[in-house]
Amino acid sequence: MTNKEIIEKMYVDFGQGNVPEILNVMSDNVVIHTPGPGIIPWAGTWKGKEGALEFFKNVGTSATYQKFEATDFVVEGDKVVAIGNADFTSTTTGKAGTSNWVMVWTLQDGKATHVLNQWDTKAVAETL
Amino acid sequence: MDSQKNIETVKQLYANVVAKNLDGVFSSLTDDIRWEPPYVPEIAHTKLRVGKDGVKNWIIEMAGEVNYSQVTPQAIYADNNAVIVKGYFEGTANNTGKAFASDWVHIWKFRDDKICGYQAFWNTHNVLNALTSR
Repeated sequence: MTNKEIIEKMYVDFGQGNVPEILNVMSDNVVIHTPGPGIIPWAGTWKGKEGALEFFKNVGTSATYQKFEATDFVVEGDKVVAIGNADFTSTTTGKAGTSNWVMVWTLQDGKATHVLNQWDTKAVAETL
Repeated sequence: MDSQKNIETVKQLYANVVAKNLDGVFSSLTDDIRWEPPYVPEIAHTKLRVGKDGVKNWIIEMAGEVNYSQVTPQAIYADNNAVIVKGYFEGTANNTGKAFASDWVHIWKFRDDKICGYQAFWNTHNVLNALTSR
């Protein structure tokens, strides 16, 4: 699979809540960096597969996603940049929110080693 | 589509911004440029703009709200008609004097060797806090 196909499949797995397959894409030393305030349970820097598992658990339990769509991919060498948007509802507050997002993936030997995950943090924080 | 040429255009655009060479900036944009910061209703300069006049207004409104002490591109990638730049900025809110900082990602879309789209991602929560906290 190409790096782009790996990341495309990862988003399909994310949509299906298939955490084992998502983690399979992560390298042992993956770093997921999500700028944002502490009120967003998945903001911060998450390291290793254990950190990635906690990150995805927090993403999945803090909101339900009515839409999570990757609309564009830019690929160069070991980088895959995914651009998309999401509609979501907080499981805590019941509020609905929407955000564009961009994720910059770095891959090595077919595994993600670094992810920069940028959302509209103001919108997400207000919703969650 | 020449990705390397597009990268050079974007690098030159950042250089023109630093040099305050607005003619240089606008010469790299299409007339129907779509300029899309991350929209935050409380921050006037984050509204979507279309066209060069819209970008000019964006510059004026941005300068009225915030002052950037550094905008540093850190990595640049290109593919087909898009150039992605990852970076970091620091600045202060003009009305409060409060500082903010954020990683950012800029997405530049090209048509016929000119930039026809700009979309930005940054930590909207941080910047809004600086603009509204007393």
